[in-house]
Amino acid sequence: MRKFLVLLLVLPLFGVDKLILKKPPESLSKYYPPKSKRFEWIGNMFEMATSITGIFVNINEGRWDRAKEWAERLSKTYERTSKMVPEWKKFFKLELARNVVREVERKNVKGVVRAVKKLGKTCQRCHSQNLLSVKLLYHFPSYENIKVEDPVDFSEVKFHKYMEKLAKDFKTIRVFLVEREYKKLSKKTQEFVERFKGLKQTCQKCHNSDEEVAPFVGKSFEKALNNLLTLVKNKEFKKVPMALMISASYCSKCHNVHQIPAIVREAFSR
Amino acid sequence: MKLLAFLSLFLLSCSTLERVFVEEDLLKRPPAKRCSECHQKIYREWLKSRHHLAYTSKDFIRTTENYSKLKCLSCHAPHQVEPGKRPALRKVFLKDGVNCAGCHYRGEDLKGFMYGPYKVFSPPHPSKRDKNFTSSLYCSSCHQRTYKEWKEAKVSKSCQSCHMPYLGKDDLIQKFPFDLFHLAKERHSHSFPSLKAKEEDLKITLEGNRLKIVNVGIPHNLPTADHGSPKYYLIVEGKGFIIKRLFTPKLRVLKYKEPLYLEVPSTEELKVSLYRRLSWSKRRELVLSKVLRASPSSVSYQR
Repeated sequence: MRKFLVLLLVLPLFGVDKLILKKPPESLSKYYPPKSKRFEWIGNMFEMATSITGIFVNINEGRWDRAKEWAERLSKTYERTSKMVPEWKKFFKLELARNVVREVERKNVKGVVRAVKKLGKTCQRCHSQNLLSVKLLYHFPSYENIKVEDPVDFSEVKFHKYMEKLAKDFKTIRVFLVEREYKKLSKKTQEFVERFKGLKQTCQKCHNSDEEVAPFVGKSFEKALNNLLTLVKNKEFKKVPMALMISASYCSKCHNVHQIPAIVREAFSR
Repeated sequence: MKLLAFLSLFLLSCSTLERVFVEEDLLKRPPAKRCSECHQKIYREWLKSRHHLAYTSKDFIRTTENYSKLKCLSCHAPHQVEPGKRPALRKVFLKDGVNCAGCHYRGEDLKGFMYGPYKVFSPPHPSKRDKNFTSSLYCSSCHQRTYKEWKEAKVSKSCQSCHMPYLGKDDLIQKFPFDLFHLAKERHSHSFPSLKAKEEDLKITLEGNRLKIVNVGIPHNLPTADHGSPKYYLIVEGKGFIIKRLFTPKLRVLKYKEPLYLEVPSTEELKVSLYRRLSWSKRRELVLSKVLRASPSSVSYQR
């Protein structure tokens, strides 16, 4: 019988050729920072997932009384969650949660598996429509409040503006390289390197330890930028494009982690 | 007279007496205001400190996104500071920030003691002496990065010797009759000033075409912070050029006794200005401004 007790709550986000991100309802924001620091929504998701595991772990070991406790816990959390975001009430089928309790009470293994699967489909339906946008919107911090002091002109600018300046520096260097404007190139490279290193100010707003950010803005990052400066200073301009590309690889490292959530957040905030 | 002698004997003889006169709420981590009933002067100093504003400053609320960055909170409202250990977050009187009980009370409610640098007879709250109160290790619980920098500087001066300036001999208590229990003690300020470097703390010279700056007086990095963002701004002006450099704990710092070099074009005269901005302040303050002139007989410059 145990071989039937395999949990099948894998979310099928695969096999689609179109993915639409919908902005989650405003009422969800009550359960995430900055309005709440208790992450009540995701907390309930974990509680329900744990409850389902609790049911099957105990059925496998023949402890139906404990399985029932987990089933009741699942049902209660499911019901409580259904009331948290009124716009999403339609996703919840309370009767299906109660049915899990009933099947556990009947000690009907196949019935429990069937009931959990049916219930799981209601979770799945909501997740397939909302999980990605919720993750991107609420599980990454906002960059809106982050301000950066520009090391070149000492002005304090918003993070977005700072990234624009940095991108402009990078492209201008390439223009000066093509045009062989080496004096201007030298000045712009100095500014680009100062600004790029200046980005380190922002990491600590969220990341506590140097180890956390070392692969992104650690020693190899410093080395790549210092190498770029040295090449320009020594007028080894043929080597500059490669050094510039190596420096730019550090843009990608952070962008791969942070840019997608930032774009989504920005789009939702418009 | 007999009564007085008896009372004196009584007071001096019995160590358990301290527990008889205990004011129980003092052993339950009271708010700072409660401590001010006796320690009025210390309380007034603390009100001026950043410790007092540690939890309520606008900058902190903004940076933690309305207290949602939980890992930041414990040092801004510590339950119990112990030398070298990161404190837990206090559950009550959070708005007090780094308050009296956070640093001075240790142990369970009602069973603990008030700790400090002196051994004192204090009936309302039994007290114990802890020499760590005068050592930098005490501050390292929260100021970990600065402590590390200070250790690397290998100086004998502690954090307290600068950031808890000596006030002379004074009473710890300003409430009758407890003020009669103690002789005046060596007092150090609880306003914890964020001091500004003096001109002599920074040695600035020109070696060839390199400006050399050495932090010779402050035994930690300039600027220093664990998570805040204090800044120094260096502006070097010469004929036809201006060079600006930003100093932040992550970007560039002036380490103690470690020279920092900046290449500058050849010039007759050089104006060097250094400003600072504290983490929580919008204001830039001038630290020093110097004009360096080229010496005709040497490549180096003199003030």
